[in-house]
Amino acid sequence: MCSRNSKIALLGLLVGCSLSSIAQSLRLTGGEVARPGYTSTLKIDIVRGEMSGPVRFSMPLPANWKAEAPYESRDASVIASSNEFQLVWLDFPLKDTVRYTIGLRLPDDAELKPETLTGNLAYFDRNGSLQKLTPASHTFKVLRYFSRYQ
Amino acid sequence: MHRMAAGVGFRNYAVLAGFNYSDFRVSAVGGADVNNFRAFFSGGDAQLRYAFRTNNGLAPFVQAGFGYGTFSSFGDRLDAQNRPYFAWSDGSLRNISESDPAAENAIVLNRDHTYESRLNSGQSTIYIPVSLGASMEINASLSLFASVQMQFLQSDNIDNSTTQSGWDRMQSLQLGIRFSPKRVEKKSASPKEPKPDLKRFDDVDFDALFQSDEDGDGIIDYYDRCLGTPKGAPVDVNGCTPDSDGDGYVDFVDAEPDSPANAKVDRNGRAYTDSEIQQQYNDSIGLFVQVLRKVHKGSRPYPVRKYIPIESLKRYEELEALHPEWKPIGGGLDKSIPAELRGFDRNKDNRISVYELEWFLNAIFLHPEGAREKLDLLQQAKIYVLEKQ
Repeated sequence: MCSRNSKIALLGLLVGCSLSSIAQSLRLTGGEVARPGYTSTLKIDIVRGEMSGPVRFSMPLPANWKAEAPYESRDASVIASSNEFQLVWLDFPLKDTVRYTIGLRLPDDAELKPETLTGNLAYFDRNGSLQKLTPASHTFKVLRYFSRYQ
Repeated sequence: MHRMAAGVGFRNYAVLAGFNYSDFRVSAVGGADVNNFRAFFSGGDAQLRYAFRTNNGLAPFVQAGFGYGTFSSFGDRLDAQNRPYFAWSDGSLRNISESDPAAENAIVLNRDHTYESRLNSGQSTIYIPVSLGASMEINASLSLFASVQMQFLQSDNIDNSTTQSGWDRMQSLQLGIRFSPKRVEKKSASPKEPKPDLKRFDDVDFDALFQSDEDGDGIIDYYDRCLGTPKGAPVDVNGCTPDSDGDGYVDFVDAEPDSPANAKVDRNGRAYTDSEIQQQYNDSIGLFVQVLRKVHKGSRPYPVRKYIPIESLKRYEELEALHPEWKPIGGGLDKSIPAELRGFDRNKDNRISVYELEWFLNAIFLHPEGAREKLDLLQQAKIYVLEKQ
């Protein structure tokens, strides 16, 4: 079976469907700087690839950081606990790519240093074996802009 | 002796400046001379003190310095009838010297203790004060001290009696109280904050920061207490736009600026009604089942289920208790959950909800041993919900 990506599928037809499907992958993107007491945005991009069925995304959070769940969960169960943010799908959406945008609220006394967030994506293949994608990470540089009110 | 002193201290050292005033009298009779006198001494000095700190509040100290003073001395040389005293070898005072030929006619005199004879007046001298003592701390600002002080005067005239060294000495025992206002401030002040590590900000462009106005509200970020206000929103001098009902949507964009307190609001800031919350709950289950059906049949596209905030579900449960006539739509309502699937009904409400299925799925990810069987059972539960819809 060729990729669901239409352009590559067309190319696949031309070359005898020699290209394999797009590999499933995970990517985290966001701003460079995060500020204590404010919310920063983090984008979670998932390329579906051959994934189907149950999928789980988890991301440990630095101390006292809070994840604000996305408004549109796109069929995921959102679990935003105090120290980990999770998305769980009974059946992963049948879309080539899925993007979630979440807010990360930093505590007022967040430590001023680079904080690296690492997301993990796991799924069960057709044989019921647990598969894990290469973790993706994003680093926020935590800076406190000077203000007389801070 | 009366003494007042003030000074400043640093660690174990203190520099003191003081003023002394003394009025002392010595009444001694002996030898061939009447050696009584009364002296008035006043002077100022500067001294350096070194204190030995201990943990029990007791601080021994040594102190020495340099001073300058003036004095006047008087003697009691005549009795009340202005007759001069002569000291006799038997210890008595007579009006005639013991060696006088007419000594046999001498009569005994009694001292009147009036120092009428001026010995010297207005003489000045330098002096060196040396003290040994100890202080005891009462509280953060007060301490008591006791010391023995010896003052060496570069004068031999204060008592009008000649000594070999040519220096008169005044010895005094001092008891006093010491007040240290600076120590009060030190105790009451808040703990010193550690110095900031400014190297952290080496790569920060402060000029840009102090001129930036991220939200474009006219208040630069340095003064802006509300960063990120909506574009065009009216703001006060602090850069904030009001949110009268505190629902997180400022009045400028709030469709309902006076929503009830703690109400759950939609994306326009309008409070959900109870019936809307009920509808959302029903929709969530209905859509979920619809999604499962389409996935089960392999149909596309995959519809998007609404995300229902967990707070709304909690509110629904409260409302459901008040409205027993409400019948939520969803699977597993007929209380006939097969025995092998009853484990999915965690809250024992005789229906299997989407959250219960997802809870089990999460558990399978965390404990993937025997995942194949667990996933099969989960699939059965999904199909069961489909068939019951």
